[in-house]
Amino acid sequence: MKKQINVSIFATSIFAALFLMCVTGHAQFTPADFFKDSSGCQGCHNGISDKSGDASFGVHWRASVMANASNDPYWRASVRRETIDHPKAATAIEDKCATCHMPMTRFSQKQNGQSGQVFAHLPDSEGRVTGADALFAKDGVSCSVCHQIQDKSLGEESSFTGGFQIDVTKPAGDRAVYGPFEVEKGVRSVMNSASGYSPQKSEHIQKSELCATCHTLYTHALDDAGRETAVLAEQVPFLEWQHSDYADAASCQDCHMVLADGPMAISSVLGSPRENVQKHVFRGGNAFLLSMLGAFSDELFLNTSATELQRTRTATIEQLQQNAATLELSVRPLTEGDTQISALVTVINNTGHKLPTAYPSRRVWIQLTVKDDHQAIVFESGRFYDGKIRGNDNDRNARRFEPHYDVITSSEQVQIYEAILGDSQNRVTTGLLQATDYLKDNRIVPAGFDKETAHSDIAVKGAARDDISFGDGLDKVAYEVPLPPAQGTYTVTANLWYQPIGYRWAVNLNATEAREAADFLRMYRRMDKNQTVVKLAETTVKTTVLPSLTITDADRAAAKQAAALQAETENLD
Amino acid sequence: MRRRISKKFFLPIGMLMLFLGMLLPQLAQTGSKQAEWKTLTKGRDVFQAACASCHGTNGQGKSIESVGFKTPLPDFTDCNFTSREPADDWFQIARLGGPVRGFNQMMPAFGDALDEAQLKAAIRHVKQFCSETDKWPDGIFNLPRALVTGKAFPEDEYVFAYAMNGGLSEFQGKFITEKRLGARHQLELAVPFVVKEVIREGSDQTSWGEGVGDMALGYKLNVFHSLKSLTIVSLSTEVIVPTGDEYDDIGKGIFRIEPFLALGQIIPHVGFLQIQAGAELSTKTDRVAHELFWRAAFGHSFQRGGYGRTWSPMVEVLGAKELEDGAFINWHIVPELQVTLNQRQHVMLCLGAEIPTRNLNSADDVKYMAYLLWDWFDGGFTEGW
Repeated sequence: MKKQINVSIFATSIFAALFLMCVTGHAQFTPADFFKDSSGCQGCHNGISDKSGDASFGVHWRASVMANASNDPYWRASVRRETIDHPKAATAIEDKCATCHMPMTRFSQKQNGQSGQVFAHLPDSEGRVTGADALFAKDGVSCSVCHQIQDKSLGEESSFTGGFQIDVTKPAGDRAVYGPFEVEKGVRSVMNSASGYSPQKSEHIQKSELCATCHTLYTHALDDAGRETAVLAEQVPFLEWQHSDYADAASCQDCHMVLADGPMAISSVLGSPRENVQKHVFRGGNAFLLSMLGAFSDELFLNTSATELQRTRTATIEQLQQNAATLELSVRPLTEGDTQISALVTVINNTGHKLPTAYPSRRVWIQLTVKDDHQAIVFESGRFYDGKIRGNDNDRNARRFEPHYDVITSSEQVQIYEAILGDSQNRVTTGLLQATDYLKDNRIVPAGFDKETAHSDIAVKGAARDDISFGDGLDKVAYEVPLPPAQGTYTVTANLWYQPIGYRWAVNLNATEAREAADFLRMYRRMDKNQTVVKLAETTVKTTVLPSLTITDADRAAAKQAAALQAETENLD
Repeated sequence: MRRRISKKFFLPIGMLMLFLGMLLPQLAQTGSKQAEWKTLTKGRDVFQAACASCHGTNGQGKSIESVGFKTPLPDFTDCNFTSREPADDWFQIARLGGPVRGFNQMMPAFGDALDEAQLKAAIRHVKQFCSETDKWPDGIFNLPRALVTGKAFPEDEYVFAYAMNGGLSEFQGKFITEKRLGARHQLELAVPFVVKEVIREGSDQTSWGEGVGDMALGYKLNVFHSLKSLTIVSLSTEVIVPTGDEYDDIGKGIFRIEPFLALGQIIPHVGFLQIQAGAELSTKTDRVAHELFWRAAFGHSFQRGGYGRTWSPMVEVLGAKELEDGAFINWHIVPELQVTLNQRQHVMLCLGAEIPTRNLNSADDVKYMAYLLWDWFDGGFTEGW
């Protein structure tokens, strides 16, 4: 009897184990069920060129910030900080961050009913990536992510914060990828055989709404107990763009994916020249990250080279310098003895979103310098040094920040266009999930942006809101600065600087005791701080002091004589 | 009366013609661009349009950095690579993609984009990257290996051959390794293992003897190959070393030398014929006589759709005669079937039976034979399944 029971238990156990294997085994998706890593696309989409040279999609893309979304040491450190600051929400934080930085791995995990993970998929210290999840995680925002996003709900709130939709009904080998061009049937077959995807023309791939799925991000502020207390529009360039004149004029892709120089094939395999091909350089705003990736490409085990990253950095800087902003400067004429110089700086935002935009670590500021005949500086506001801005309260003290100015009267004041986050106590913070609102948001709005009608997610915050010279694509700042009694010629120079990772946003990670934070800070400290900034614009006005109008006794006598002569003439008449 | 045509009539017609005149070149241009590669006929042009982006204009394969994937690309200028497989295998891979032969999916299928003539022209262009085609026999001569008859084509392969007699009194396994050297040369080592029933001296009981048999070292030299006549001829010599136990009849106890000629002949639309003829020369004829042998294998290979598993039924006729007075000619017939086991087609199995034409009294007189072959040049054993 006992033997029979044992046999029954054994048989039941075997059956249960087999049942569980069947039930759970087949339901586990891997990223390869939905995506192809970029190496599967580069073979045919490299080796293409336009008149200006190599325009290989893969070569360009792999040296972009998007390709390296999960390799970014700053992002890794920031995610770690948030998980340490909010341990109860660590799983949700990793899941949210993985959505757009490790989209392929996270997507398949989500299909398995799991949360996305970040740190489990980073390479080990030898650069090894183990398993498909880590391999796909390393591939960042890869070809088969963007090109598989379906034209569903795009531009709607549900599509934001990584809410893109990818077909999960069709098996690998039978899936569509979207592009702007019609592809000949035979070539479709070639592509399908090598990649498992069939190219399909769809215009939505060229619309801003597609980019908005990841570049519109809301974060949820958490209290100490891990409860959500507020929603913050962490980065919303798409919404800024929608509220500007650019919404009807140019898409994200129009500016950030430069047009090929003349007709160009999009494939090196049976490719035919096509008009208006948009290259895959992805000129964004983070030139500094590209420098850092280039400097530490070996340590980060990147699938690109320092040379390629430098090329992207150069293209990014060119874009920033040529297309981001214009600076105008006028100086009121000086006369001898004046003890104040008056200048008016106008910053014009030439972009289709706020300047700067997106992740709130970014800042733009004006450096105004007045030099005398001997090139000695008699006034300066906004000098950059060692990663910091002289006069900026926030760089001196993490709990303070520099207000928005309409008039600057002292070298201790500097006009910085930035987003300053505040926590529930209105204290300045760089902790994303501590932030409940912006204490200051004077990032220069794009042309057509009406700050009165702007939704609170994109609203101007702080003193800029009431500054009548701020808005609709520009800001005017007056400088009324003291001088020694004026003489000779003065050179007034205005520079517009841009820094993707502001000082506080870097050094505040000091408080995070974790390998990722230490790694980033080590890299940051070893970088030349001049590489953390880009000069967007520069303008200079020279003004020569006019002689003052003093009346001598001889002048008075001559005037009296002339008046008498005129009276005498009138009497004669 | 002729009707006067109003000037008003000309205006719309003129405008329409002007419009069409402007539009047609545009349409024609678009059409020609789309179909540009479809009209290519020269192998070099097709290769340039379809293959060069990965394989390089010079056929040497682009770098990993350039193509962006890590699968190594072959060097077509390396004759050792380019000559190995017949053009038809290349054609099938180009037509149906790498996976058809167990290779990477990154090798696309061009069959829907390029027609047969274009693909074959491109393959011819690929083959010409090898600048010494006269030296390197083409893979078309790599005919299916018969169970007994030797091949003319120099190979890189491991073979495990097995034979047993119907009486289950003798079992022989043989491990053969063949290593090609350059264009025409090949070295070979064969190590047999024998298990057989023996009656030892002083005993009338049978017992089992076992051990390593006589090992053989061989050298093959390809002396002729012609794609025109579809013929390949090689000369070979084997030295058989007496490593086997003579007393258990596992070895013959003396050195022997076995020179032979091997010929392969493709007979279009019919099949193939392989002939091997030579002699086994004894160093001590008082113990082992010289022997002449001649062997022929005829067969045909079938593939599903030209690309699937390859089935090669063959029949061998084997003849041998010891050079002794009164010796008979021993004839055997060997029906057999070789089949490729994997997609790459570099692992094969062959099964057959050696049937004597004389003294066939029972099934015990039949020798059952098999081999498992791994052409290791084409990849690891576990690759390409």
